[in-house]
Amino acid sequence: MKELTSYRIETADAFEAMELFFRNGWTDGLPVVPPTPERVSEFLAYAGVDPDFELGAVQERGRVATAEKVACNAVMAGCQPEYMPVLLAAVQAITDPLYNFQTATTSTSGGAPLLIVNGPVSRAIGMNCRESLFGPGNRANATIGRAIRLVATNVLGAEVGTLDRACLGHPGKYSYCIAEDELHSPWEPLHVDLGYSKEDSIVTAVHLEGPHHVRNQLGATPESVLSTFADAMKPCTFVGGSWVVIMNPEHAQTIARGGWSKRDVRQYLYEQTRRTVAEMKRACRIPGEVLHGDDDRRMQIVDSPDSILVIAAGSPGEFSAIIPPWAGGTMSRLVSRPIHSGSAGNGACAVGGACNE
Amino acid sequence: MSDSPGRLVVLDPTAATKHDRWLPAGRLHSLDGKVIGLLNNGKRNADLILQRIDEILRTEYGIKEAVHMTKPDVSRVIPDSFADDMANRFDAVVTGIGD
Repeated sequence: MKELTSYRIETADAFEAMELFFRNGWTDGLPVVPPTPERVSEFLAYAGVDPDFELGAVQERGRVATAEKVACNAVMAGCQPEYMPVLLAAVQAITDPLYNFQTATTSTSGGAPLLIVNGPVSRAIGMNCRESLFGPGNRANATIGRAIRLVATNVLGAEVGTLDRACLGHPGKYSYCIAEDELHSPWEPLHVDLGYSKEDSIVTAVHLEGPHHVRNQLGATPESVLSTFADAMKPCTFVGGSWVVIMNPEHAQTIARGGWSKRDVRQYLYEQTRRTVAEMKRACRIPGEVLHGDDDRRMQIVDSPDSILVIAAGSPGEFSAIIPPWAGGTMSRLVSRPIHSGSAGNGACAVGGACNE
Repeated sequence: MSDSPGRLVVLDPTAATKHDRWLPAGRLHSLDGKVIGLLNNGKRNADLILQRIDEILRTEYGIKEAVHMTKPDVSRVIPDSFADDMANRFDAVVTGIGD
């Protein structure tokens, strides 16, 4: 493997290193694991990728994410080497121009990239897709999400107060990474919806606000369960954009028993989330005075049924969630990337075209 | 830096900015008789502030003409062809960020 090129800093011990990283603004406000050359090399070796391999860039900022810098931040976040393939694919996803990292992470609206991991790798590295889905408690979920935040700050320039100008932000900006419960879902998983094979391992990044709980313990039909989801979606900030609906197994099974497919769910939510123009104007969601006829004119909150991603996850019970988009329209698109196996596993490399000798 | 026994060596996790192919535009010594582009970033009230800048440039700096343009996409950088077009047509461009 090629030599590491990051500047080396000598410290007395791990505690001094942690304090140094705080002083330099290199943390998310929590202590980090010191990224020693040995540990960073171990991460790169697992992934079978050279340190100088460029995973992506944010051209507006002149920032390039190399595998070495991603490995540094993965170590800092508390990752294990076997999480590296997921991280490398996730960095490729958020630096895709369609994702629009520059504006998404600078915006005052303060969204964060939610990473949704599908396929065998999510089970192989022990990701959580059930109880307490958004945390805390699972190392893979917590540290992969945290590593992405550290990469965003330290590598891609999303520093709070300079190029991250969120008015509020949300807790997902510390870590926002989940797996889908493919084994208990009545439907095909997200990555199959997106055109991949069920045996592929895929990470999908989508820029979102925080999760909003949907409580329904009364519904026994698809319509009566989904009516609560639609009701929760209506008041949200933006018109358009990609929505995520987290459907716990109890809600999903009730809907599936009624004979509804995921497509039916998306279509129903699309149709039931219309609001009148008058409502939108009175709430200052859109500009203008309320005019005659505005109470009868309806507008879509969601662009199309395909803009709603339905994810089966969480534990059985009365709570699911909807997650509104960071912004409307086409400002940021969801991006998926295949996760390749690490070299420590089967000799393959974790990034296409980047294998070591 | 060499690694000393008993000390912990750690790596700098940050990436430097690389703007090696970007050079600042040449600066004008005077605005007199110049054609100025005013690029609206698409945010609310950008038109108002640019209109005021337009008036100031005409009345106080003697520009020949101000041409108002709007970014094709409020949340993305302008395409290269759009930037090239402005560079060809205008002596300078005024724009801004934020809202």
